[in-house]
Amino acid sequence: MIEAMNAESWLNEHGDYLYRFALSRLHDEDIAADMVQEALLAAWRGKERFKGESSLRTWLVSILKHKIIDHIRKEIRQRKINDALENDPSSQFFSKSGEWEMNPRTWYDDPEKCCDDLKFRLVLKECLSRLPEKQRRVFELRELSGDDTEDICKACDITSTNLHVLMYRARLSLQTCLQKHWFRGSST
Amino acid sequence: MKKGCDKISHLLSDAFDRKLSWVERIEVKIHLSMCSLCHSYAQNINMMHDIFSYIRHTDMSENSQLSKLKKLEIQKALKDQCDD
Repeated sequence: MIEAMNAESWLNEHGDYLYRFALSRLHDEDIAADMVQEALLAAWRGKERFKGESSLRTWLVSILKHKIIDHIRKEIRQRKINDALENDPSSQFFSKSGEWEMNPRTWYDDPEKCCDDLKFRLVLKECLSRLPEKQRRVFELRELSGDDTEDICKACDITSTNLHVLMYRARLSLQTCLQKHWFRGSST
Repeated sequence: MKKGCDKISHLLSDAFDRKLSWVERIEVKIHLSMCSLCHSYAQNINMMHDIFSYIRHTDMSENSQLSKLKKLEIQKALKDQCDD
């Protein structure tokens, strides 16, 4: 506990981990580093609240998470990113009676091998970048960062129903994009 | 009334983000047993989910580090705060 209460040791032992955590959610090195700084300062100010019930790292991560949520929320508000719910792309995937227009074909590739292939990574990045911005942010927080739906709703100022719709649309678009540009799949 | 593929694909996506009700699960199961396209879609979005989990875990173990300069800046800020 005494060792844990040394601000510099917090930075040395957990700084890089916190930085990677922030980077995986913000994709911007400077902002990620600033978030780590803010989180460590806030943690140090509130160190009496650390009861040692969880590990120090878990506690620091929970503070960092809040900082990241606040940051994303501010950014979305300031830039008025509200592209998502207006245009409904599902009509391009289904006929009026609800049948597939763009038939999915089963992919048989190995996920790990795909990820290790740099060309696949580029295609994936391109497909993600084609999503409307808010949809992409929500999708990335959920699938790439593994955040709780509740945290994402807070960060992006949406209801859980909105989140489900955005995730649905993102999955539809990504599935179609990846099938078109990478997986050839086989029709059953 | 049989639900269309649009509804079922929505439920298949929801299953990653919320617990489906008992009725919804049955609906999906029956539909998948009859519809090879939705069956393919279900497999593909599962694979996408695996791909993203894999990327998440490999990215977190990569060696991105705070720059030395930023570490010094944070150290100084922490020290200033301790001195206040």
